[in-house]
Amino acid sequence: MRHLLACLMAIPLLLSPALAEQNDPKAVELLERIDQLYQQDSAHATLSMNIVTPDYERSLKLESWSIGLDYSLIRVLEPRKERGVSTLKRENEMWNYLPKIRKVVKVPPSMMMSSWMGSDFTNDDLMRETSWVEEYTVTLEETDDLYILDLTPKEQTVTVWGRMEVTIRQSDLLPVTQKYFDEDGSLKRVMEFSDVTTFDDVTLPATMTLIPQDEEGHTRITYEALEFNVDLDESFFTLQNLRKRI
Amino acid sequence: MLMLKLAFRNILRNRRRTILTILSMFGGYVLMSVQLSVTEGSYDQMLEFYTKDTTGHVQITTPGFVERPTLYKSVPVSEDIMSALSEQPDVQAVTARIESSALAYGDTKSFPVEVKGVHPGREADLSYLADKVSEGDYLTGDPDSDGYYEAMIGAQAARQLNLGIGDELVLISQGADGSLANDLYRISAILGQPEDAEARWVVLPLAAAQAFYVMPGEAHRLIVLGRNHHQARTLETQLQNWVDNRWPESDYRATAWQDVAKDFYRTMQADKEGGQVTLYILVFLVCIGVLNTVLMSVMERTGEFGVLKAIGTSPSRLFWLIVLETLVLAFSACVIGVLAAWPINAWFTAVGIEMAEPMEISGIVFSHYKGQLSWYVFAYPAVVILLAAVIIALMPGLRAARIVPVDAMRTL
Repeated sequence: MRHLLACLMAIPLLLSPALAEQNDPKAVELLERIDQLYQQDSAHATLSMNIVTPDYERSLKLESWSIGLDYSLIRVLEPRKERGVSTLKRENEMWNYLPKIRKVVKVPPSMMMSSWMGSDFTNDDLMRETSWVEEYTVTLEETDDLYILDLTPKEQTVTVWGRMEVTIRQSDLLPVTQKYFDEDGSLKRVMEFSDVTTFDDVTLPATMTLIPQDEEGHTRITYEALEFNVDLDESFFTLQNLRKRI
Repeated sequence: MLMLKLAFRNILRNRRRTILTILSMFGGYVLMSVQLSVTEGSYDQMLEFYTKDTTGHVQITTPGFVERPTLYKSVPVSEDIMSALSEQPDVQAVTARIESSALAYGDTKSFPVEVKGVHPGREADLSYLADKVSEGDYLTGDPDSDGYYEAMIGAQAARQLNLGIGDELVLISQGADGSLANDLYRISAILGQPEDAEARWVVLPLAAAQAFYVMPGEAHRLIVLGRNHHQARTLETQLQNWVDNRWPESDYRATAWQDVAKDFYRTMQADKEGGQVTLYILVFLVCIGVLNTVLMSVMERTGEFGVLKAIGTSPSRLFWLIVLETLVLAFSACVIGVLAAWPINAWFTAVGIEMAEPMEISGIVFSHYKGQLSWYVFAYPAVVILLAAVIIALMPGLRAARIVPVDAMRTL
């Protein structure tokens, strides 16, 4: 799975080791570590997504496949009405497949900030393909039992966020929260990590809750099954496969 | 009575002048009445059209919906509710609408559209939607043999998407339950021309829109058409009671079109008031002419008034005499004015003047300026003319009242 979803959630965590020179080495090391935690070659996951908004509440069951940050495929398993709705991401392009109308729809740039499947996640969250360490300057702060990483976008970075803050527990080096601030510095949304679980020898928070700050509600994602280093290659992530009936 | 007799006698002393004065007041009255009739008639025609075409006279929605429409605020709707509503006194037609947006796809292109879910039969009875079909056939409301519902598409959207009658239209949006709404429709008609207000619409049968947006048994607005748009406020109150009785636990609102289309209503009012300025200028000019005449007649009679005063007539009597004379003139002008304006207004109401270039609003053609035959268009100018007469008479009246008999009689 991982990718699509994990990238949204873990986006800031996925720091690749490049460009470390201006950053605090310890901060980079921490991010790298977390990056290692999530960044497996390939992943296959089953997860549930629970969306609560002032206007509606819904639950989805999803299956996902991914390779790194570049390729991912997510399929809706439940509810029945939406079974088979799929999203494919290949590098910087994204498509949705809608089985009811048998149509593959490319997600246009204008739709990037719209909600993905009615959740608090946007298409843009799913699209993210470069690691945050390349685009953000990282600084580290320590408290008694936490590390707080502060991410500020570099000048050339194109982003909607003005700043991000990732909190990591010192004891197990797992993420606790991630906060998104806009350009005026006000908190826009918070992601909470919880429910630490071991899948395939990898221990990570299985539940991620994204809470928007300007309205009621949240989106909660829980990994029900997660396996890493599965047998997948790029040829799996094709439009043909996107259209496959399930 | 004596005063009235005196007034008449004075008026009739110089008949030619009297007739000319009456004529100028009469002209003012007729022009005013006819202009009012045409203005009122045209606005009436326009408003009646507008309300029928878009807002209806009264709408029932959730509170706040008319100011800020959102997909999630809906009212219950069923055949039962709509028939019950249409049986209310003064209600002529009822329909329900769903309004939201979607991304439409043709073969290759996509285009953002406004989606309207309408009850095909009831909508056709209430609004002009059916008249706007420029190509193809109006909605039947039933899915075809392949299970596709019909859709009508605005001309601009059709052109952008490169779609014609019988083609498949894909709509993608978000449902009220947060799900990804997506479905296929068969285009049955093209609406209007590319520059019309409905150029970016996609009109679906209500049932199809309810399924698409996942709003079973719901709609965004219940549209009610009463007898005419003037009575919308009364109907609003009446329907609010009906709504409160029918759904005691909820807070659904009945809103008259004046509030639904607030900006439009305000613009109309301002426009109408602007037109009245010409009327007042006209009245002012008439007044100056009449003032001149009345003043002249007082001057001519200076000596006479001196004698009257010398034999004991009180100043107030003289003052009222002048006022009464002017009022008699104004009243006669109004009476003849009504007789003359009536057939003109009646003709305007029945036939109207043909516009040099017919105005077309969303496929509906306005070809004539129409008049209105009502109390208002006759009474209002009469009140203005009579009031103006009193004001005109003030100055000459005071002059007569203040005459000093000795000086006055020297002019004899």
